[in-house]
Amino acid sequence: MASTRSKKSALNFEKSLEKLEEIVERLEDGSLSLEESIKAFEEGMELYRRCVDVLEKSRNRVEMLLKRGEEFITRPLPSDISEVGDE
Amino acid sequence: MDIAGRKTLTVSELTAELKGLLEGRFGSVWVEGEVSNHSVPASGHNYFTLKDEGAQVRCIMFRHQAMFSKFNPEDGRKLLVHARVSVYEPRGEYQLVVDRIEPLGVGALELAFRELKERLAEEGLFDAVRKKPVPEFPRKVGVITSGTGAALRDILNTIMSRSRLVDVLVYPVRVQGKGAADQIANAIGALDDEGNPWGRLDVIVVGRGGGSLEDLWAFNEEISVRAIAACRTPVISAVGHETDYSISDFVADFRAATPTAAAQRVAPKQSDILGKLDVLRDAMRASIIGALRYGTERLVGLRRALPDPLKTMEERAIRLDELAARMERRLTGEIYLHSERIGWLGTRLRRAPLIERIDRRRTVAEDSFRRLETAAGRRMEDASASLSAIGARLGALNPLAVLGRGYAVARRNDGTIIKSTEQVRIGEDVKVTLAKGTLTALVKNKEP
Repeated sequence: MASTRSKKSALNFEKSLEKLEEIVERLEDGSLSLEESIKAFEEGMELYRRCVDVLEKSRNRVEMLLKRGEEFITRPLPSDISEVGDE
Repeated sequence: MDIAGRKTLTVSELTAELKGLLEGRFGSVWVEGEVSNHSVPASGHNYFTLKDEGAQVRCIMFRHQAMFSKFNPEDGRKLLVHARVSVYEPRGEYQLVVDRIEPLGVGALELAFRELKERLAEEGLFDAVRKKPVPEFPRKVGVITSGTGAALRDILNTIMSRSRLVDVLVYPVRVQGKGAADQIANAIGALDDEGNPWGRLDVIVVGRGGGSLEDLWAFNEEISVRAIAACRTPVISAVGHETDYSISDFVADFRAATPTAAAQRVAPKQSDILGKLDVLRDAMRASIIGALRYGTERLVGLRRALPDPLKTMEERAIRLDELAARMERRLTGEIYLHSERIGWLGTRLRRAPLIERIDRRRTVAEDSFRRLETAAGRRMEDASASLSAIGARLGALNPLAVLGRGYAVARRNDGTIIKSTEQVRIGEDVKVTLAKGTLTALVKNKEP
């Protein structure tokens, strides 16, 4: 479940940002009709909101990978590492 | 047993026992020492002595081993050899049969570094085309470094203070000493494996803090370097300080000068990303406002150009009424005028200046023609009169007309007209042309 969440956000964030840049390029290009421009704008704003959302809602996850016999397990890192600093 | 009852051995027996003892006890050993008396006879085998301050031992490395050795014995060099202890009975000597040589000391490390680097470069492992791109916004980052030590702490602090997007999976390993290179290689293999608890990672950071060449050596060993080369996940190598270059750095997809720099690479600052997003949002807004404004202006322009349909309708309705009224007035009030108008029109037509003009012109034309005729006729008469007169005068001058009066023309035979008696001789023929006919005459007499 952890990996699916990450996988989903990973797919969304970088691709969303790329898509957003693409949309801005098309809008600035000037070749879109008014209707297409409005549609692109709406799509772009949706991507923008989604990206900001991911940035604000994410929290760092830190784990250690350890081998137990043949298996690998994860363990959260000991908390002597400093907390998240907000920008 | 000899005659005195002592246990005796032959030399061979003694040597054989020594051989058994030594070879059994030691088998293969690693021995370090300094090389001297190195020689390579025609056979191709390497003979040398390995010594230290207290002792020395003879060594032999057979040709087929020496051929594949990276390191060669050279007088004065300090080496580590892997060898089999052996007793050479014919000479009563023990020796080391060497199968492997490794360099000792710092110079040796540098030599090893250079040799491995050259070999792997030749294999193409450092080629730019092999390097995989490191994602700009990785979400899952693997970190291979010492579980204790400053490097891990620096990496985690840097990441967490910059970006909340990044999740970190740490695989602690020994980063120096025995087995470090193996552990590093295993760690890379484990994190690269999609079957690990976090699945596919976006990038793996492998490194450690600063140290000497020996401290960093694990990152120069073939096993760890090849593990990096074989890794399918992009690898960032972050070994030591800025000025430390390890072979891991050359083979990795990206070299970070330090572990902290690696952390910065994988964790773009949140504020920067937000800034970038805002720039994009503002650009979109500007574009769409521009587009809407343009669209609105066009619309307004078009509307102005179009007549107001309502107004047009009204105007047309009024005009329609007007016309209808006029028509009505006409129809009811003016029918009686109709015939009068026609008559009046007829009069107008008759008295039309146009017709008068036509008549007048015709008259003028006729007059002119008549005058022309008269003048022409008169001239004709004059002309024929003159012609007759001239004809008469011409007629009078006609020589043939003279003949008509009785005169004749006398000519000599050659045609010349005779005007004087001198032109002819008596007895000559002459031709005489009369008004009618010609004579041939003979000159009988002439006077004078």
